[in-house]
Amino acid sequence: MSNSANQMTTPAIALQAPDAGPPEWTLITQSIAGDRSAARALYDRHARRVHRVVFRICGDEELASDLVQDVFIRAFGQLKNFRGDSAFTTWLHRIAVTTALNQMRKVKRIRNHEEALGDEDVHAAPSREADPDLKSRLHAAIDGLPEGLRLTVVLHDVEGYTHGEIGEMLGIAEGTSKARLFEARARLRVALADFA
Amino acid sequence: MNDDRLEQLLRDAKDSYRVPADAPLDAMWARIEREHFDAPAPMVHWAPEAGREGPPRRGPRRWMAPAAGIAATLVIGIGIGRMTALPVATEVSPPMVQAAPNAPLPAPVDPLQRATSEYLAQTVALLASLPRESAGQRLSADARFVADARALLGTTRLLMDSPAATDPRMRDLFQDLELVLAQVAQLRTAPRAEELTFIAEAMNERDVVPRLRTVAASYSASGY
Repeated sequence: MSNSANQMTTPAIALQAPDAGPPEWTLITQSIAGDRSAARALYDRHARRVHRVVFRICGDEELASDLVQDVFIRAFGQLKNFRGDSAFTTWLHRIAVTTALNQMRKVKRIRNHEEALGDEDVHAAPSREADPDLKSRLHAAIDGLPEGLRLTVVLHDVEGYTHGEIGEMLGIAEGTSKARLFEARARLRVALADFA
Repeated sequence: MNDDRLEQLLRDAKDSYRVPADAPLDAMWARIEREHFDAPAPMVHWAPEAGREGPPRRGPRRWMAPAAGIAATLVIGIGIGRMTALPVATEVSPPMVQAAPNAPLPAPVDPLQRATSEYLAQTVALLASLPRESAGQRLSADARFVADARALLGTTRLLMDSPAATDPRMRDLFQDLELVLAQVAQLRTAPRAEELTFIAEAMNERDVVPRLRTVAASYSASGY
């Protein structure tokens, strides 16, 4: 939605696409004031993408649903701290990524204690004999990347975020995000070399 | 595999990599609404020790110069060496110390324990001095504060590989502190409120500060 659209009066808003709804800032302000319907509208606008990102990070439907709830509970709790320094989507997804990563690390730590296994083996890629399909091999290769690299590939190549947005979400420099993506792609090329 | 092919594959992955089923939006909203809007008290957004009564908090501890981290690292290294490499020498030591039977014996000083105790105290101080949001005041984290966090992060990693981490409780604490300190060490000079909120949440989720204080107090009480 453009800035000019944000400044339109109510009749003009009615001309917007049906799913456009009120401007985001209006929903944010109303949500801070305790308006449940505005909060629900904000949730409806973002929940699916947050769910998709979180699921792509954790790979578990049930856990993803729990995490999305945690994300929005936190986001609404912190909404009054949102100053618009970055896009609301970036701010929200940063909460989502942080929440998912914290949970993943907790799960990994428990698993490490239980199994005394190395963390890089958690998503070890299957052998080619077991799964010859290129797409499956790519997915397994992505899963086999170290956490920081995998996250960068998922957020940039799969989810389409810019390096600047990824830097915001992960608390890293934009250049670091680019370097991670370069490293990740190099590893993926090696993992898929026999499909050249 | 060339770059173009990989690019194409990754583009296709948007529609195939871990695609979730439809999210149960209404069911998820029910809990969100209940926990956010129907919660009896407002959520704590920041301050690991929010609600703690006591004297006003001091600013960043400037006495924790990076040199302290280096010194701690050296002491830990010595401690690890003594704990792991020279078990025989430590067994020989007591008779030599007891050569003066009438003199009161000093408490045995274990370098690793001492270094761990200092590390714990410094970490408590650092986390207690995290920049905090206050009305109309710009957040700031000076370079020394961040440098201290990095030094403590390095010490944390050393301790994780030391005998100090053989106790599961300590190992868990070190792991949690590593996560928190890694976030603190990445703070910019003018951190955003949400950056601090994330750190606070990481600490709150794991009860880092209360656990840290408990362990630090037990070390302190045992004379280290």
